[in-house]
Amino acid sequence: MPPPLPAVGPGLDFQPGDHICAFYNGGGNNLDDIVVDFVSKGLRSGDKCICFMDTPAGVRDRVPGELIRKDGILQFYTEEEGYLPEGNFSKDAFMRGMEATAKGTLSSGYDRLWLIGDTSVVIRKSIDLKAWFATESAVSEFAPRYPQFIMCLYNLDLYDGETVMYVLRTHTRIFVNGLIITNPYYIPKRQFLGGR
Amino acid sequence: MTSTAGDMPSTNDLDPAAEARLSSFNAVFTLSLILTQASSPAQVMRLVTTSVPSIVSCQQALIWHLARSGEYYQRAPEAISEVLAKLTGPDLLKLDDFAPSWAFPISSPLAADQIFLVVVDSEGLSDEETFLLSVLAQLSGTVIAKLELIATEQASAQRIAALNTELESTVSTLTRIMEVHHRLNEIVANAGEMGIAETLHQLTELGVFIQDAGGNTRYATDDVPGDYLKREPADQRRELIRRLQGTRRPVYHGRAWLVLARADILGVLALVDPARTASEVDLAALEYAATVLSVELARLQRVAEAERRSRATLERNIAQARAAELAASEARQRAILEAALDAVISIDQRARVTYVNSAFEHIFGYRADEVTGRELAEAIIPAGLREAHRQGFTRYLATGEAHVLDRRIELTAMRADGSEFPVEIAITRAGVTGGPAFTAYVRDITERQRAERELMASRARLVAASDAARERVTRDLHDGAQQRLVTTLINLQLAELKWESGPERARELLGLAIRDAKRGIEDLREIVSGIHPAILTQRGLAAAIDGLASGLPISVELDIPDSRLPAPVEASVYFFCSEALTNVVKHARATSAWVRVTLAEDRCAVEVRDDGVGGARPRSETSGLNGLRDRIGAINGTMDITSPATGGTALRASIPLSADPP
Repeated sequence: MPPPLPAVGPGLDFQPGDHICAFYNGGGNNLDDIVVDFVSKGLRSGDKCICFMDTPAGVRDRVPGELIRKDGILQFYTEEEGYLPEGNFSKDAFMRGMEATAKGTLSSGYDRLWLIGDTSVVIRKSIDLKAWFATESAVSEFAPRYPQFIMCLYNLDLYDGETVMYVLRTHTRIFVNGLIITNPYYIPKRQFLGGR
Repeated sequence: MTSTAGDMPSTNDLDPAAEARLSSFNAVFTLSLILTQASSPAQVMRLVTTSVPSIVSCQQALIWHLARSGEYYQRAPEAISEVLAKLTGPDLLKLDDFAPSWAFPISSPLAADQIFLVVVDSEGLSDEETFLLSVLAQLSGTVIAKLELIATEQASAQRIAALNTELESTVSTLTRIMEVHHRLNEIVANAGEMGIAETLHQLTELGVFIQDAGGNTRYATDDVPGDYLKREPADQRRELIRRLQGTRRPVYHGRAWLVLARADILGVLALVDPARTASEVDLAALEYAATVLSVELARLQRVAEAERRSRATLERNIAQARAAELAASEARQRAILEAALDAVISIDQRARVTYVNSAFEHIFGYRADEVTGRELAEAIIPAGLREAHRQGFTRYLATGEAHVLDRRIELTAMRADGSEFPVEIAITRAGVTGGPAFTAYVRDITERQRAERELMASRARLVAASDAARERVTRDLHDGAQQRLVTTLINLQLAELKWESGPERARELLGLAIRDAKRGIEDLREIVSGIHPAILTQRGLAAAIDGLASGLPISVELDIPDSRLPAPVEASVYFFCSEALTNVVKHARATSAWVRVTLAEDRCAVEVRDDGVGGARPRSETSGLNGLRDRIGAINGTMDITSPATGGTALRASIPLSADPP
């Protein structure tokens, strides 16, 4: 297990192994603002950054060029490429992919992995919410096993309150109003899966 | 610190009921945090109503509005609205045909509307759930209030931004309009209509032309097509002018924007705009240019009016000056005529006397009012000459043939008393308006003719005297000196013949010749002294006259200055005295005579007086007195004689000292 790393910036108290949920409102630059801030901190630390988002142009343009110190340090994938590598959502396949990505990052010489992904594909592809949040719950237990920061982005225009409550139950940390706080409503995987 | 699900020991240590209460509390807490990120009140209501069933055990959660329905809320039933309106905290609502429900006021400090979180639960809520839902409702109200505030601020910001944009646009427009005004103001004073048109053309980049009310083009920029400048029919033009007079805004007519320049002279200013692309600023520029054009037209009118007034004033002044000059001239002429020595008579075309001067009155013996209005011929022309005069006058009026105009002629005129006298007359024509008029200048030449006659006689006497003197000298020379010289010559020739044979006789003859020669010389001296006495030249006037007086048989007393006078004066005075004293001795039978010569500034006065019988008169044209008068007159002197029958005669002469020799 790598040693814990210091926080990477004021106001954003990232901790390795974080699995953070963040909510944004569609129709504005809210999503891009969060992604740009997240990957900029990762790149500034020389870490590998991966984004799952369908419209990365706004982010790509806003990330300072001097932070791209080597090829492949910042990678963009569509949400389907990231979440549905086999065409359908599969918790096991996704988790294998996450494992491979974490290991690949480290083997490529990076100390940490910063992974952020939008989740609009869940609605667009009508992914089974039960499977999805089972996966989110698994990610919360997977994340601390590697020096990585994982942030999931949910559009409040797309999700109802019930789903939001699932999001809150499955993420250990919450990015809200510019701060990262520990989620008091998080329910560990065993309890979450058992309680549903 | 790393926080993971495994690091949350607290929940594991609690009993299930406490754990459930804590979980519900955490759910409300974290949901509240998420609600703070909502973008709208509707989103808050949607998230709350859809999340409540996950937090408490209930059948449904919804939002009621007291007054209306919306996307995420519905209007509260009429029957319960009055109860809801008074609700200040959570309360259980029981309605017919409706499951028991709890209502939680969602208080929004900024919202005027009252909305309620309604949780339908037929089984009832626990106190803890009621508390959590009350908290959630209050937090939701706070978030909604914040969002409404933000929305209000955003709306305000948008309004401000919109106002700023509008203001910027307005300022930009006003700035351009100010620039337009500034540019047009600059040209008012010095550029005229052409400057106005060209400046408007530069400002709008559209063709510009100026016409008068009748459609005559006063000026057009180069890019105005010719068909714009064609004149419309008069009735259409009048209708257009009426339209323009009815508004101050530009009127689009004939593919151009037109506006009226309102001065006493109407002008139409046009902006050629076939595509109708003129902006608001362009039209504002057109309007202001029309105002400037009005000023320009008014200025031109004022200038024209001022010029007209100035010309009228000048013409009036000239007329007044001419009238004054004419009056002065007439006054001068009248004064001259009145002061003239000649008679002046003016007549009209009917030969009626219109004016006579003072000299006329004096010469002809008429008063002006006696002759004015009378026919000229009747008044001053002798009866025998009148008809000829009338015929000549009539002929001139009829044919213009003039025999007497503009030249001096001598005629016989008639005085008021009928007496006739010679005149010299010059007639000029005058009068342009009201028919011809004539003015005659008449000079009484009676005295002149008499003087001329006297002059002629004087000249004849001088010639006669000169001839007599020459004859006397010839005779004296012939009878005297010549005979003496002939005798002298004969005696000398005889003496020459006897010089050898009879010397005594020759000597006697030579003595005779010498005697005759001396006598001849004396005779010559005597003749010469009659022409110019030598003593006068050598010793002056006093000695010469003393010499004359000493040889006379009467007593002569002299009073003569010794000073010398110019030779012609001395000679004239000498001969005057010689002739006068000779006459005294010959005719006066006087015993004494007196001669006095006095000198004034420029004249010499001489008087010869005797105590004789008096009554002396020149006996003939060739008498000595007339000879004296002629001699004195020849050097501009005068002579008079006083010789009363009671006795004594005084003969006086006055001779200018600058007299030339006769």
